[in-house]
Amino acid sequence: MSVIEEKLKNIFKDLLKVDPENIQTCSYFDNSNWDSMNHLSLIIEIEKVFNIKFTNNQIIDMTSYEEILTFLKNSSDIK
Amino acid sequence: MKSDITEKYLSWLQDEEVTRFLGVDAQDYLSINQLYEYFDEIDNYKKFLFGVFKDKKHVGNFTVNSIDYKNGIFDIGYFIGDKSYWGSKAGEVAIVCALKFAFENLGLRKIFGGILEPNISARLLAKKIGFIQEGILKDRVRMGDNLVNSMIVTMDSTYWSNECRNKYDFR
Repeated sequence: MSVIEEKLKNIFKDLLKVDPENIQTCSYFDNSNWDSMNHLSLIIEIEKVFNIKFTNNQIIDMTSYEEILTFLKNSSDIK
Repeated sequence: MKSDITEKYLSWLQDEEVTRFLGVDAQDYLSINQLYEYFDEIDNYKKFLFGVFKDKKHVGNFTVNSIDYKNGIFDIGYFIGDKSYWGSKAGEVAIVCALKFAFENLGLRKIFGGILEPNISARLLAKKIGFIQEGILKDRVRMGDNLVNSMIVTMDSTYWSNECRNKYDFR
């Protein structure tokens, strides 16, 4: 597991209370803890941990663990 | 109902956090009488107003508005004024009830809604419910010193009937 993956999984586990085995398939559309308020908390935490800043449209687009992970892996700002 | 117009309701409209994306200024509603005037303007033809109730408490409102029967189109508006109910799905319930009323009771065809670009919560909620973004009105609204875009989100009655409605329990 990469460092990015490990950090992201910890955020999901702590903020959304997702079981580790379900994190990979976790999405805003089918996780009852992942509402719009928690989405903003999630974004703020990811921005803090990875020292990045998302645009409004990116915040709207990132509605699953996989989407966020892909974005972070492709971001040149994250080492 | 008119009896639901209370000081508590007035306080919601004077709370900048509540009205931030509603296009309402605290100066717009300074008295209960102004809310009565607003209520009296609801014609129950081109605009309908409903209360949102959770735990038997009035926590917000929604409207079905801008109804154009000729073209079968409409818009909705909603707000949850009681902030202790933010994140409780009260907003989602309000939107879905507005859609149900417009599509099923009024027989309308398509909603064209506008959500301000910085209103992340409302945009996410719209995406979750199944709205699609059809366009952007650039620099539509002034917020403080900035002009912000309005995102045009839509849903038609076919999508409502076939995809969206079944996700919700209306009992």
